[in-house]
Amino acid sequence: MVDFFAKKKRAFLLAGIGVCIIAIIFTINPSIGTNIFSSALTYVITPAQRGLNSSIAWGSGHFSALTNNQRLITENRELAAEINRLQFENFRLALAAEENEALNIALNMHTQYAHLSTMGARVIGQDPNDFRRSFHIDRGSSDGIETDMAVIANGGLAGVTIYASPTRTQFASVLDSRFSVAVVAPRTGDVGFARGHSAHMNDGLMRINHIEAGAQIMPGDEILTSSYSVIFPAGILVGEVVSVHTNPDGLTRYALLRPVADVDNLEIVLVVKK
Amino acid sequence: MFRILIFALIVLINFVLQATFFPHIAIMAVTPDTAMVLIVSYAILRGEIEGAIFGFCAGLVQDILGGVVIGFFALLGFLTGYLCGKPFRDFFKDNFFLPFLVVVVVAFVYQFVVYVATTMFVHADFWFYFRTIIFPKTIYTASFSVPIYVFVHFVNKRLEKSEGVKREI
Repeated sequence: MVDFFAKKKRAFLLAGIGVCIIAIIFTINPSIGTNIFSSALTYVITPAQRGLNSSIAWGSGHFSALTNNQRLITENRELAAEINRLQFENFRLALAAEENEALNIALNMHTQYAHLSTMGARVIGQDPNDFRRSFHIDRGSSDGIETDMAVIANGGLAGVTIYASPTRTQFASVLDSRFSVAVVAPRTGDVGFARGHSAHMNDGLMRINHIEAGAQIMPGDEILTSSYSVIFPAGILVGEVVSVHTNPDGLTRYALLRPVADVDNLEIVLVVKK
Repeated sequence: MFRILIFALIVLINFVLQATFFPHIAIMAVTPDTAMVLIVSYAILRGEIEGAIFGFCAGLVQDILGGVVIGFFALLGFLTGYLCGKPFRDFFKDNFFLPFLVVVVVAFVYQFVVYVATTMFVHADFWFYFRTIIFPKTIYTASFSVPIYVFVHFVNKRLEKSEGVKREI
């Protein structure tokens, strides 16, 4: 076959380029979903990724245990004290939670987090393209995951699923430039769009663009998903405002936001089912 | 046939490593693009036709795993394999310096094309990306070029020996 192509190099070159361009044109629409090649290949890749990822975690865990023995002993002592303190705190909070529940019932409110149906998944890989910050998880469309589902980690929004094959799913993290969510600052009621921004990706920050000049938003404000959002349930914690800047035009401002989800150290995430 | 199996396995292992292990050895938040080094090495050793086919297949795997647009990395890989295989047909294969130089140039162009495609519809500051991604990634990838070339060269030599004839293409 190679000899055949070697005689018709120009035709070979044109055919190769043509096939790729046709494939790009047919798949550039993201709604195309799973295709047969993708399904077949991910059945092979997913178990390998899952196995390798857990062995890397195992290996690095053991390695650091060997090298950081003394540090671990001190840390252990501190943690024991911390546990004592937390147990007490927990007891106090349990009382507060009971009281809160009673008050909620009294006010006829319901918490929205409790109604979300979620599924746990393990992060098994990362997209090698450094212009992006997206990850692979070991659950897929056969577990009921679709595109455009919210992904939660560390108690806050971590991303959105962008592509689900039968055994695994790719999700764009909140730092990925493809990610965008309608948000609200509950303290002031200001609304806006928070998005991943490649310029702030490596600093672990998101950006809220086009804040009105009159908005009262300031560093330290908590940011939640707003009810304007079509794909995200309202009221999920996104992060905390780090700084507010004025755009070069002098008319609008933008804010930098630190997501609560620790994107660079994700292990277990929850996918919010629709 | 044996050759196809071996290199398919190498490509798959490479992508599993790129998704799992390489984020742990990232420097300045960039990871080496070893798939591209594999394509360049293979093309230098086996000429433009096989290089292009190898590049196409490796790129296709990357597209499928990356998930969204199929054909982009396949096209990049195809052209990389073709162009790298063309002028280096008669090149002395045991010289490791030329693959290094080729990888530097190709890694830069590769990242530049990915930059253009990734930021096609948004305003982006080229120098910022050059400083933070394109330049460090080029250097980091280039540092993997010689070990990977030596490895591919070794595997290729063993395969050529078992195939009996050294094909001149």
